Amino acid sequence: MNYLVSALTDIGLTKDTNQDAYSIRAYKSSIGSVVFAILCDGMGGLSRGEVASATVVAAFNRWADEELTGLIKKGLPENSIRNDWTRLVTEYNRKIMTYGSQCGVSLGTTLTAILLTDQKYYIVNVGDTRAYEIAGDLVVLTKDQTLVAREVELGRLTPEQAETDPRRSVLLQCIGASETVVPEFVFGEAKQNAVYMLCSDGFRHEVTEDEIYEKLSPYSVNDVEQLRQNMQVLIDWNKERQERDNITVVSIKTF
Amino acid sequence: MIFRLENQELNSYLVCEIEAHDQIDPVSMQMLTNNSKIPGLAPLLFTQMDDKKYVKYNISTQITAEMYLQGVVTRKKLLNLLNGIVTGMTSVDGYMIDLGAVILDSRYIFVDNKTGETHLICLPFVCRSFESDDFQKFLRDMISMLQFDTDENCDYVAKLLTHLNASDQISLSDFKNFINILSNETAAAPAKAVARKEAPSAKVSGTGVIVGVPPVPQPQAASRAQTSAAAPSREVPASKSAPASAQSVAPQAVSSDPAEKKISLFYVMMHYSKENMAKYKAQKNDPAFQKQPKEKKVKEKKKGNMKKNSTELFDIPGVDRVDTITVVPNELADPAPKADKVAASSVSGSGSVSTPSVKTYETSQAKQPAASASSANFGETTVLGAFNAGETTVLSGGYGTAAKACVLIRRKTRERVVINKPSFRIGKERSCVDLFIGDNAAISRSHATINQKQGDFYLADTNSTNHTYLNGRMLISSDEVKLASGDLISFADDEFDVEITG
Repeated sequence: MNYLVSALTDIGLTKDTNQDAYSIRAYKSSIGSVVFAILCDGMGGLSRGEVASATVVAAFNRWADEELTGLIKKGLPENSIRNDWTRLVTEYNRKIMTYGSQCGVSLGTTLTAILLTDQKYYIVNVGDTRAYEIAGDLVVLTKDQTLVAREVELGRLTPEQAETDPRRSVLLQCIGASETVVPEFVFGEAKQNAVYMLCSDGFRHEVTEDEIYEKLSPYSVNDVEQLRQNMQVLIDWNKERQERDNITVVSIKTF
Repeated sequence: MIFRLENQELNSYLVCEIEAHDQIDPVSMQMLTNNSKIPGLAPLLFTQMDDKKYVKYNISTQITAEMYLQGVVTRKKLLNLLNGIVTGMTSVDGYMIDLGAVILDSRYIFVDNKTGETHLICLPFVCRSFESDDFQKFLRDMISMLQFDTDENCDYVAKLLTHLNASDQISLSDFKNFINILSNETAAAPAKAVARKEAPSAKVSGTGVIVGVPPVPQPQAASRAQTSAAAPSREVPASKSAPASAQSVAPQAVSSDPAEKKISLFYVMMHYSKENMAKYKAQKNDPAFQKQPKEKKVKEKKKGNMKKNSTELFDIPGVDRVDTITVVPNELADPAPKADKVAASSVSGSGSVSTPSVKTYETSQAKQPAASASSANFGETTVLGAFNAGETTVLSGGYGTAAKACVLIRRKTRERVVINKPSFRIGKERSCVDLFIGDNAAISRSHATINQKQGDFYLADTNSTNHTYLNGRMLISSDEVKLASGDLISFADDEFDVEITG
């Protein structure tokens, strides 16, 4: 499998700091190229959100550097990956919370990360950052861990109402600010000629799925430059439509 | 072998088309076709039409184990399924059929919606031999993907997994006994809650007190538990079925004084006999056996032990998601209207379920009514109306008379589409397709392409959700299949006849 990768972030219209943190790494291995991408959307006053998101990104990158080779040798067993990531989430939840209480602030971060190989994708998710698979159709692979998403699931709100509900950004859990954090895992078969995309919630409130598909479908992006340009167009549309939050998008095209 | 689902009047069948390279095992074929009611197996029949041979499994009123295990799984449900699977496997063994002939895949294990009876699919072919670890792995994987009911005592899950991990070879009868023991344990949660706190000191080589492991380690476990932590032995008299003293429990649980013990429906199902059924019915009406309030206390105590944890969040990780999307025809789908998840089997050489009638795929944002016009949908289906005839163009003279021409004729509307580009795209994303199909929500945004190479036409699926079929056979995304005149293409359930001239 070959990959085109690109990522963009924008501080947005009103914020003083960009509390999104992300990273994409590609590794060459015995099973071909492997990509590990991660996106964290931090929150917390006094710029602490940056600390939370950056810390978690660094922790997962360290994991990738140290553990991937060994895991690949063992065939990337799902249970090991699940255990490792759960352990990291739990550990950093504690650490960030402790740090927060020492500083007298509350801080936290979401997490969406994807490990992509020739055969499979392994995704971990906490919060409302999302992972999409854009191939024949556009599919949101992760479930938002927000209050309104739960209300929709319980039938108490319609999706349309959820989009405009004032509580739409309230999270059910995030790393660093929840008593316990239970990450969502999504594993599946990696498709060829598909785009796997991670984004923070600032990226997807003001643009429609049609628009995202139009710009990021595998058939619309044939090289890295075009991928970057198309992501920029989507970011610009968000800002034109008065999106206020930080906006980040990470894309990986397989071919 | 190719799998298909078929419906005939009130019955549903899983049809397996036997291909040239499939080797029928005459002995097992005889066994399976002559005995129509092998417990735990889906009844099969062998039919032949022209020179095509099929094996049909009757799966009417049944859902796949995958669907059965969706959502929150209770102890009763899981143990029922496991018992059913082991029963089926035991039957297969009893009929001297190789266990390797059973399909161990939760998409091909069927459960009766009403009775909970499980049916396995046993193929009458020469197959690779059964490996106990594959079976253990299959069970382990299946169990570890589930979401359990956290209001119940979930110790049984740990016990199950421990049992499955205990050794490389587990015999079917051992496993069946083990499940029976688990099923008969009453949820003695107060005893367990206390035992759990003490458990760290009573641990034996990291596994604690285990039920159901072959007899030898048991006495040690129980006695060690007794010496290092008095709790388990204290509990024994308090409740007959406390797991700490497993040996005495096993026989007791099953044959504890039947006159006094309340018989649950589950117990009746597991140990069906006329007497049990009669007893159950009698007890149901007898006020002395109505549900005791004690049960409520048990739950509360348990919740107090666990950290404050909103149960809605307790998603046991690893719920497998989309990409492998399975297609289930309406008849098989879980009747609850909310469960609109569509399943389509992912593909690889041996066996893919393909069916011409498919449901639409539910996105995270909106449900889509199948094939009906609705522009109010959350941007997923574009506005549609009749098939846009303006998309077709007349073959121009520039093509030359030497070149072949390919035309698709849509069965639904009889409209003709000329393939007039080297790479002709089909889908419902207006901005990037050449053939826009707007009135069928089952079609993906980018569904398929038809490419021209050296005068020939090739069909390829572009990662569509509901797949592309050529003459009934589903295309893998990397496949490019040559088209011939008279072929039938289906984009999801939309059929097109192929005409190639020249």
